Amino acid sequence: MLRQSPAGDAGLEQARLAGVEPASPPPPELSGRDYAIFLLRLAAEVEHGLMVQYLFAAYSLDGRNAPAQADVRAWQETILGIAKEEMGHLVTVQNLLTALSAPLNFNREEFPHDTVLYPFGFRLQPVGLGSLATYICAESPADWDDAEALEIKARAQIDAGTPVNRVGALYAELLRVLGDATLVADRDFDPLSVAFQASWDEWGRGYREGQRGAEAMSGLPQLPAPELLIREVGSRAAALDAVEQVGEQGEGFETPVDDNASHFRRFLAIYRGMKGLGDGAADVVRPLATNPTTDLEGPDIGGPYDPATTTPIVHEQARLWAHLFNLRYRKLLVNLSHAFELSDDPGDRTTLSPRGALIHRTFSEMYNLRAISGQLVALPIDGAQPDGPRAGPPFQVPHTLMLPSDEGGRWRLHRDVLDASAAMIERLRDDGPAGGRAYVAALAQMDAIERGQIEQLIAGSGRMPAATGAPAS
Amino acid sequence: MTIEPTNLTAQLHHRAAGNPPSTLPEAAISNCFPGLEFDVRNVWRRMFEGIELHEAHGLVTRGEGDLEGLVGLELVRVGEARLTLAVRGPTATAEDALLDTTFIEWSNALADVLSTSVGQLVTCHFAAPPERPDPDPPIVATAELRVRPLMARSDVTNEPLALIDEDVAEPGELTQSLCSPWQNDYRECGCYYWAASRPDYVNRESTEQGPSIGNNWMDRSRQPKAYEPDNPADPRQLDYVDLFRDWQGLLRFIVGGRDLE
Amino acid sequence: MIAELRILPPLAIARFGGAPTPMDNYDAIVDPEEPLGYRRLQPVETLEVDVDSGEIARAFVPERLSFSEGGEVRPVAPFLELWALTDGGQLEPLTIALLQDAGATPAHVRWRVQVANRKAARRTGDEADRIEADSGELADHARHLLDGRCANFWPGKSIPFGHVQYVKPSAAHPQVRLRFTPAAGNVYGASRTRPAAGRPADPNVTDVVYDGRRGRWLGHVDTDNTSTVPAFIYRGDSEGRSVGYLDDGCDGIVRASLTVAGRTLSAFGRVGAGPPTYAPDALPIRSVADELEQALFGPTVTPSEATLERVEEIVRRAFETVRLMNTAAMNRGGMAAHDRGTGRRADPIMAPALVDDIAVENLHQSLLAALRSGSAPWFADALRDFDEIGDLSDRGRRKMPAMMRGADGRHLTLTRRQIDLIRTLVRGPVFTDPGGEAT
Repeated sequence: MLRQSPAGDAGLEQARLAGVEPASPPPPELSGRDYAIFLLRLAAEVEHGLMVQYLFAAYSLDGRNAPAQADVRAWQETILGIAKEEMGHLVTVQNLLTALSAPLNFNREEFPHDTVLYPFGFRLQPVGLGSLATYICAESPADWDDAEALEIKARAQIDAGTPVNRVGALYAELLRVLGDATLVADRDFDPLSVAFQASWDEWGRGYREGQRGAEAMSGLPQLPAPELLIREVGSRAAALDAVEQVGEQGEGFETPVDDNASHFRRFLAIYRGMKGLGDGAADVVRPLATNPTTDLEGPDIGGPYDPATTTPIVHEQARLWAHLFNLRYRKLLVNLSHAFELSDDPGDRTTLSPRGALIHRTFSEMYNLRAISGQLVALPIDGAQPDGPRAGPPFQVPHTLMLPSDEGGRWRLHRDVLDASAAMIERLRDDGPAGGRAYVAALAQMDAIERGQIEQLIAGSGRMPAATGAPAS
Repeated sequence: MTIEPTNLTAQLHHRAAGNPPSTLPEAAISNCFPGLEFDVRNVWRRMFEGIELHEAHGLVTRGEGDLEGLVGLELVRVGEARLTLAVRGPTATAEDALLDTTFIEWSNALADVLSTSVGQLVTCHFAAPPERPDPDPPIVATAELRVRPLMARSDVTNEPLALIDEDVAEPGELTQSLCSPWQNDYRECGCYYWAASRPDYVNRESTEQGPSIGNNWMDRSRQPKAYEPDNPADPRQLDYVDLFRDWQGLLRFIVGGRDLE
Repeated sequence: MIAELRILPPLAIARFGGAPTPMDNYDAIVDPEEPLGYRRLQPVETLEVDVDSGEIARAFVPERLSFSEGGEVRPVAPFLELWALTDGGQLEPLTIALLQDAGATPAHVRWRVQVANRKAARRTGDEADRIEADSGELADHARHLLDGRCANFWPGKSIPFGHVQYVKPSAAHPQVRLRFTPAAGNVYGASRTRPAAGRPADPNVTDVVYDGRRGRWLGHVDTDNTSTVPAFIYRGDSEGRSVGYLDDGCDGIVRASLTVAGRTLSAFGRVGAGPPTYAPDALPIRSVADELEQALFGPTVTPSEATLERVEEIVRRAFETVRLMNTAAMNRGGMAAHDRGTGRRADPIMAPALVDDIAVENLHQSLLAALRSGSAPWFADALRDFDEIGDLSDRGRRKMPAMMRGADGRHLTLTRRQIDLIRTLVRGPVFTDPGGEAT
């Protein structure tokens, strides 16, 4: 594997800067196509991890007391917009995997985070100059090296513990590999897989599609709306286009002219704004604990969390909300991965599969994550320290992300998650602030409705597959 | 019980004793094309003193004295507020083509003018009705016209009342552009834009395959559940004549999304 | 001292029905235990007026609600109350006691109701086609028929528009009020020869009233740009010629006056009669109340007006409409078909996978659930602005509200005020508690 050298990005980066495309073969044990898949799976983890960290950062902003309340709100919306765009990247990467007939990857923990291709160690932390610096560096273009860049890179290295790698380098390598017919052949791209891929039609939700323009976010008109890039991939050309677009939006292959266009520039603007607040910056950030977790006994061996910085959620009510959060996060991932398994068959416009419902439910779960985050950031992480750090959304990865191979099994999995959720909801119903209880009552009703629909789908999904060799009866 | 005289919201939504919620304006639809209970577009026809406008677009239908010359022209702009827009979209041959022009409904188009200029003169711009779609037709006439208040005023408090002024609409004018008879509205294609008042898809249930099934509200028989879009010529659905003769016996109230038994 | 009179509500809507007993009173309540479900219809205090005496004979809460009686719909017959602005600076009900203080009695109050149906006159342009009813000055407590007369009717013919009754105040119910009961919702016809006595030959109509030789309504065709939009919405033959049908719908003005010691105070209100609300547990997404509020208060709101409750109510009404619409069918029909008429390419409005009706309903329910937690709405960008009605691109058509027609015949937008309400809330904190406090 590509381990990082103490000097930083080394070989790959230097080769690119020299304008020479390295003609290096894939790492040992990987064919060309398998290497492309490896890179895409890593990219999926990177996008997923960034999205979740950005959400946490956005929810940590606190506009209540700030004299510059509008600015803080704008920062929050900007970071949320970037998170939404990361989701678009995540979905496009799944499309690329599908195009190469590879399994999807919604995991975040399969790859070690100390490879040169991973930006920085995953950490959920409240926003600050340090974390912003890591985000900026991760999203930065290759030729960013003025005085401010040096300051920010240094700060990022302190915050992350090691120099921060550019995500752009990963996408550059992907472009090289996908563009090389000796590594990935034309026949490796499956145009028929498009039916299973996510389309902007289905996932775009009205966000601009690939058009730069003056359309603002209506609530905060001085900000442009997020631009959800979701590309379907049926050929090499489409794959290269998709990777380029994704790179250009966030990871800054070039330094864009338009201030608002890239993640890099947007984070940089927030960094400068926050720096301008000086000590006042503390007033605009909630004191959320770092890496909050429901796990009281420490992380699993080999997990990505730094043992020194996870914070168990001890406050009883916050624990319940945190468990519920993790369950809805899991439900979101199950909805998302299940939707990918059902094709949108352009040949059959009369029968509607549950795909549409799964897509809607994915968005429903996003609303739930936001709603529950609202409860968590207001609660202390430890009841014994009521004025201490606040809890925050834990985004813990479920014990498995594997989807059963048959429809019946998949709907049973949905039901399992709802059942576990119901247990949490029961405990939350009678306790806590009014807003929480009202929400939980509504969520309970929502889940009951969905459960009824799932029971029907389980009933209609037929018998278990026949044993090997025997004809289906 | 008392009401603050300036609390117009309370007065507008006042439920007199014994009155069910369907008596209130919040139960009357206002995407009036043409409407069910009222065609509120009529409220705007006399907004500018001296002329009368068509309820659905800027055609001047009446003009007093000197303003008679404006009859037949279209009001296209009032001050900075434009009243027409280009309609654009993809066609078979182009991604973005000019398809048509449209007037913007009065209520939204003139909301600023009404909120800032009642009693004042505003510059009104008129064009000849264009033969082809033209979102910016040449202005052939302008007139300084006074903006009439839409709402009546209290003589005592000198504040507006939550009441459409007498000068704005005479008896019969709020309903004059509705269907005749009203049953026609229930059978016109595409009148299911008021589904909360005139339901479309009822008795729904989900199926083992996922998608839902249910009835068209106009289905004569509720079995089988096979929704077809509104079509008065479809023998499975009620037609105009059925409604003229026995709407009371044939149409069903829908509560909880289902026929009320 | 009474400074001013007002009729409340200022606009009252009656609803057709032929049954002799008016519809009971009920509330439609959001159930706190099932906030994503249907509003619950709950019978509440209903007033029964004695036909002869005009007094409220009883006030009672019905055990069950029934919207029909013997195959006929029970009409909604609204009360219009008279209120007084007194020296105290407040509006209060005008009652026997308040009248007494002013040196008057209910006998000093007069009512007058003028309603009309101008549907034919609107098309023909002929004032003689106006069908008008005037109760004259009402002083007693009897029922007075609103008889719709028209210069172009056959002699002796009229269309009944319902009746009004000045309810007699009593000790138990001392407020001054009027009740308007609408007509049954019948259809009336026209002929070129004087109609014979007895039942009309045409089974569609209750009576033949219009003289087709005198007036132009029979045979009228919408021709030019003065026509209504949409045009041809009257009952016509295959060439679009009107067959002369009229109905007993109407709208108009109710006046009340109080004369005491040589001084007359007066007030007016408005009424209209239309079809029943066939889904009484649902409210429309955009209503006449929204139009009047925008006309009264303007297209922008103050931050304190932008509450979660108000936004939730808008989302709820969207949801109540959507769940009675077949979104899968309307994805290709309805507005999509209408757009094709402009030459727009024949695409469905939404990605077909997304429009299953139940899935769409569930999505709106999730929105409602999340709003309950106090999260600010984030769907403000999905709303169609009033000046975006001409945008028929995929993106433009997918904005909200989707698949519905607005008053200009284009894709529906909310009032600017409704949109501003939602956007103003978005500008506030992301997380609040239901009381509106940022958390």
